Amino acid sequence: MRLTSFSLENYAHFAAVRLSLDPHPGRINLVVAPNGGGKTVLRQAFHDLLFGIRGQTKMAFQFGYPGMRLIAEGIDGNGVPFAIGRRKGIGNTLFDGEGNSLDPAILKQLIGEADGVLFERLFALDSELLRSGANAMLASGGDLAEALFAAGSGVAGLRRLRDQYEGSRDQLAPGHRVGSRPFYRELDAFHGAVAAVRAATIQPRDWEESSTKLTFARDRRDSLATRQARDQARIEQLERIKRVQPWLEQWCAAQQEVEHTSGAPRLPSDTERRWRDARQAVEIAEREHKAATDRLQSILEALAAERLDCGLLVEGERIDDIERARDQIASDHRDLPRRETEQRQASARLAELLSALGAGSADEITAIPPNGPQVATARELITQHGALAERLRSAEADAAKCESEIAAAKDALGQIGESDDAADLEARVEEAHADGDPVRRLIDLQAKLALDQARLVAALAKVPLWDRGVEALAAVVPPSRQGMNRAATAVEKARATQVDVEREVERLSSELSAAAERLAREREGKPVPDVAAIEAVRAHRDLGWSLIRRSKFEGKALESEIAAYAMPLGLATVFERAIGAADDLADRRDEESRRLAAIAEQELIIARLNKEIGTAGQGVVEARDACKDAAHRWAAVAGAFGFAEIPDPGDLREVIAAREAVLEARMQRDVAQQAVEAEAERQEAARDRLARLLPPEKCASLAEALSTAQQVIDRCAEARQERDRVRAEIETFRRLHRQAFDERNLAEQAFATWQSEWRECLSRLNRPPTETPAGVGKSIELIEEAHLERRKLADLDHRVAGMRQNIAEFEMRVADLVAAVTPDLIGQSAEAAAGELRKRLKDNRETEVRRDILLAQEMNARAKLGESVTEHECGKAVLEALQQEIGASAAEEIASRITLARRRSDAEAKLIEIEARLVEIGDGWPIEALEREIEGVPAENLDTELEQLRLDAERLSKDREDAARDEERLLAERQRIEAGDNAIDAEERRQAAIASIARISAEALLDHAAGCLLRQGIERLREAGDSDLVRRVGAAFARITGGAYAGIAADEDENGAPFLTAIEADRTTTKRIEQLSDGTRDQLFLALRLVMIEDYAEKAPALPFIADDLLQTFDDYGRTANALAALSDLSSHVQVIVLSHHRQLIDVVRALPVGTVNVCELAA
Amino acid sequence: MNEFRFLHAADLHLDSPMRGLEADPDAPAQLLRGASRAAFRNLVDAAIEEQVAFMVIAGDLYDGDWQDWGTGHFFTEQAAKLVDAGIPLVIAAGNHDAASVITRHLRLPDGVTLLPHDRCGRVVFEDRGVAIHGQSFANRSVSDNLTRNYPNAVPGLLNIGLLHTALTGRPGHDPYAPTTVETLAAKGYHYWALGHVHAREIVQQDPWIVFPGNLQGRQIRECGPKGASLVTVRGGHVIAVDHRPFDILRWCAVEVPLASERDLDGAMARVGQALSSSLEAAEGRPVAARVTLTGVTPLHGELIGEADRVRQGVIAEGRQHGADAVWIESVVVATASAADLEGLRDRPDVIGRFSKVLDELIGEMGPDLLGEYPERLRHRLPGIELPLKHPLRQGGPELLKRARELVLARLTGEV
Repeated sequence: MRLTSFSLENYAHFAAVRLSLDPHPGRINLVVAPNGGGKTVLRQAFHDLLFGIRGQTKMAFQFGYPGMRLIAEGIDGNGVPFAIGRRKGIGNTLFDGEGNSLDPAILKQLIGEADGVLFERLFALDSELLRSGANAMLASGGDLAEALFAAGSGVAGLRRLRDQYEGSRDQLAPGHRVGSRPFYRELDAFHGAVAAVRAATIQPRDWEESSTKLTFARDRRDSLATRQARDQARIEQLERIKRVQPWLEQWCAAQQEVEHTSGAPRLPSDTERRWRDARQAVEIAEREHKAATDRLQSILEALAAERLDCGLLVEGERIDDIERARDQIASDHRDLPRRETEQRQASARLAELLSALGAGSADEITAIPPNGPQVATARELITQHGALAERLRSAEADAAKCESEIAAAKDALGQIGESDDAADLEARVEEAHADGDPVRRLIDLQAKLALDQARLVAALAKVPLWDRGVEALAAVVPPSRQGMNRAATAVEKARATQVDVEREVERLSSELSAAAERLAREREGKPVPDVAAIEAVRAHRDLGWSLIRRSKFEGKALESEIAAYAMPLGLATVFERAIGAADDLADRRDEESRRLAAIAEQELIIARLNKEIGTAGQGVVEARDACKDAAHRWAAVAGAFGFAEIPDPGDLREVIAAREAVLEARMQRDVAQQAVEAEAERQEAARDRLARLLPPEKCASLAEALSTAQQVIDRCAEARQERDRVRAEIETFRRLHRQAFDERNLAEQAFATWQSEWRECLSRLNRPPTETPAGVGKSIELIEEAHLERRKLADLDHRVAGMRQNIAEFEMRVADLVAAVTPDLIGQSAEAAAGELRKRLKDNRETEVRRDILLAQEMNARAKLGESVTEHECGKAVLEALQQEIGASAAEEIASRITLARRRSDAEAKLIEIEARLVEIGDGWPIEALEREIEGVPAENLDTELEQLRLDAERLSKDREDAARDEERLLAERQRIEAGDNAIDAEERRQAAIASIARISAEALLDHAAGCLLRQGIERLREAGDSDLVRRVGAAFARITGGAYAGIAADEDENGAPFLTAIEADRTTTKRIEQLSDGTRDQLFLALRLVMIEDYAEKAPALPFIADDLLQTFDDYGRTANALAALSDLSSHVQVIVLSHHRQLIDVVRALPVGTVNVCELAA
Repeated sequence: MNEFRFLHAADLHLDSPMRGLEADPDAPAQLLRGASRAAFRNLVDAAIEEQVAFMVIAGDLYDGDWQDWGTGHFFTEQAAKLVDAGIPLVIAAGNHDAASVITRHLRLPDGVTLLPHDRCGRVVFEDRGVAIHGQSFANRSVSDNLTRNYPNAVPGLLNIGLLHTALTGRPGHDPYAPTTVETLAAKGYHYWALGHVHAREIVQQDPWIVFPGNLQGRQIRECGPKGASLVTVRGGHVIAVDHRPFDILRWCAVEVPLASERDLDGAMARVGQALSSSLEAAEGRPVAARVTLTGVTPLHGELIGEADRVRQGVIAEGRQHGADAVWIESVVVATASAADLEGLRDRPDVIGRFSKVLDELIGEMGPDLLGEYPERLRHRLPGIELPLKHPLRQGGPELLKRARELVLARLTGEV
């Protein structure tokens, strides 16, 4: 298909744009648009037209989806016109020239099998993709198959893809064991789990054995517990008898004492204490009665001595008030003279201030308060006056300074004068420097020539065995690489085979020695117990178990059999030893079986190794023969260099590689030589052109001419710069002068306004119109001071009057009191009389307090006297009652009866205590039962039997603890078995490992299969590569490079794989991909792509080729034109649309034949 | 009216491990390794709670090659619990039990009857009017029709036949103790309690011939609810057979059709929805799932080319339902490419040519293309039974077909 027009509506930032395209073969459509002007949009639009607009397209950012349309008109492969459009929507979004829905099959006829991916990878190419393809070609070493595939599919790096799959496979499950890889990790986990299952599984046999042991241990513990309980009961009985015996004897004695004291009186136990207490109480009552009588007499005497002045006490409160005012009156007397002096001074200062302000009275000043508006306005105007004066002065000074500066700058400008024009000279110098510093360039080229010459010498020195010079080496015709590789491979293979076979013989011999040593070691065994011995020990063990089972579990009496079997060690010990002996013999038997098996295995290994050594020896002979044949063939191949001795393949490869390096170095040296000569010629021409504009005597060389020219140019430039600077200065000063003039006018206007306000202010302050701002400021300060002095004077007047009044009132109150209660004080001063009154009042008040205390004491003493009489009478009554209770009146008789009663009581208490103790230590048994128990046990055997029993109990306790431990251990073992899920856990791990292995191996196999397909597929592509294709790519490459390269060729590497080389213009020298510059590699990749598109177009309907800013890496003008010519060739097969933001391409186009390019400009 | 119920279970396979689940540090190991025990506990608890008259087990208490005595101990413990509750238990040993070392050493509690293997045994519960007939397997592989030894029905009693059999054959099960439905029906029994087939199936209702399925699913082939049959008897006739699930972990085959999803996120969202549905169906149980992606999708190439990423994505979707709610057994990509990969060989560009080359290679070389690598892997896996559809068991053609898709998808920009 070829387009004649392409329209975008409401697409990206285009509301409506239409491109007219030329569909004719041999014609390129160049669409020039500025950066950001829509090249990428056009490429996407073309994609969307053919393959649909994506659901979430970025191209709707400005106009949204409604109205988005892409419309193309063109001709199909048969020249029939068509029109197709695409809208944004769901389902079939195609429409025809009339806007009707269009069958997608029609579009399919135009574009064939192409899809969006193919369009992007084959029919669209930008500089980034171009460089990426070229880099992939470099990475593959110019592999022909890869290069063709990459150019034709847009997929770079088939081999890299293959390596990815193989790498992924090896990451998961490499063919050789790598323990860290997931496959082998899981495999190890699997084997570990299998072993764990085996180890953790509890076999039923083990369980039964465990059950038997547990039952035995339980029975033994129960039996020991029974015996221990019996012995313990007997010990307890004997110990009880020992405890009870002495107490029973005491009990008998106590009973006799009770009977002996049965005739004594029964008195309460506290009778003796009560008798003593009653007698003491009567004596104390008599002593207290006498003391109370003496105390009352003493109080009555003190009360009679106290006297009071009742009149003075009645006026106590008034005397207290006078006393409180006495301190204040003293203070007033002291301060009054000082305050009167201050009053006089304040009055004089106020009069002085009023006089200074010219005021007749203080009232005039009162009308002008310091914080009032008149004073505030005056202060503000005084401040403004200073600022206005400074502003006026500054503006006038600035204007004068600017006028002076302008005059000085004009003088300086006149002195600089006008400069010469050095434009022609600059053009010549610039021309000479167009390619950099010419002197440096020539030095660099000469240095490069010297370096290349040195490299050539060094390269020649690196050719092994060669001593005949460069040209002789170049004249040698080396053997074909393929033939040399074949012969060398044959030699290396034969040698490797020989080494391998010899190593194999060595390895087998080593294994044989090791096997012989192992065999000898195994044969040094111990004697083996025979079957009869094993049967005997097993029978002994079984007999033991039979005795245990029958005696313990079936209850049979087998003492004689047990004695015969187990004396003197005991049944349990002998049975355990029998088990141990049987197990030991069985283990030894098993060990011997393993040893015999190992001997047989080693003998088999030795026989096998002998056989293998024989076979390998034959192989050694054959390998040595093959080695000789290969060496002969190699000598024939290596003869081309005429060496005296035939070199090894490795050496010859080195010679050939070194020869190629020499040839390359020689070519580099020649190129450098030509460059030096060309540069010298260019510099001479440049010197001639400069000499025409400068004094000839200063142009002996190009360097001198350039130096002289530069001096002239610099001088002119400096003068121009100085003149420009001074003119700029003059302009600046003129501007500043205008600003200063304006500022002065404004300041004058402001000053006139101030003067008007100042006059009004003076009037409000009652100041003369001629008073200056400074004078007014002073007057305001005096007004403020006058206000302060006036307030101070009023305060002092008030204080002096108050003091005088207080003193008069105090003297009057004191005189009244003295007249009323102490006439003897009349005539004394008020303050002295007040002090005497206070003293007399204090003495009367103290006398009153003492009198009240004595009256209270009198009342208490009378109460105490009454109480002592009552106490004495009560004591005597109690004494009489006790005498009657004891049954005697005399003191001696009373003491005797109390003693008899106490003895009877003590005997009865002791009997009760002994009986209680017997209940406690006799385990609650009745006394009669205890007496009977003692009678049944002879006292002389008691300790002996008890000691024996205790020893037995200790031994039984130990045996029982052992038995309990055994049972506990076996029980724990059983619980571990019952609760343990180790085997299940291990089995789960085994299953998990299988699942992981299955997944990982499946993934690795898929990666492996993909890698194999790619590996084999690449080989097939190589085999199918045809020479015609290479020739056509070469022609396109030559076209793009303008003949700098004559074409390309396919060479073969050491493995016979073809790779691309570029043929230089001399048609003999070739360059490998890595030797080409980046730009040339880009051009080679472009050539490959153009040919692949041609191929496609020959077989199916093709899409237009979109070259998006493709030529921007073509830094050479000529090669850009050549590339356009090559694209012009392509346009014979498919339509070519070149998108670019380089307007200079239009200039390049002009170099092409007329009509080759149709230029469309897309506005930004 | 005399009414009672009994439980019919089979194929307990106690302590048989879960198969196909990869190690997961977040998985509750106790739940996984104790699943078969927990299911059996559920069965016993249900029997006691429902106060059933008795319980029958139609074979395969254990896995044949499993030797750990702890399993046997667990069984006797639970059986004793049942008997203590007054519920007798009748067992016919299956092929796994016959091979089990545990069975040979196990001493069953009183009240548990293991039917003989050399003849058909009979257990009569006179108070219920029930006669149970059955014969155990004598060895691992019984190819005789055991029902020949079974007597005809005892008149006046409810006759139950207990048998471990595959009938005329069931997919995935060895054809042990073969017999036919007609043979069973001819015995005149009211209920045939069968075992061996792990999928629940009511073969016939007159008389009742029932496979209850196994008690706990252990692998992806054992999907869906697993448990036992609760049989209701009234007036000497079976009037209802209800399935009761006792499993604690549900296996699910989750199919996720993909179509218009444009990226993996979209596909994973679909996976998440499907897993939610499976979890809902499992009624609160955790789920072990095999997720199979199907449908024609532009993601086909990415799905097969990014297998590990896809798998991790699916696992992450599962994790969103909680740390121990979903385990992914595997992710199967069974999608088809939206691009015409088969038609590629007709395209005139180099990819078309390469596609043709790949077809030629596969046609000419077949599995030889893969070299020795598969054999090397295979040799490292003795004792490991891989899934039937694993490429090492299936051979090369399917693997090469998938590899071709993978490569072409990559080359045509699907990845």
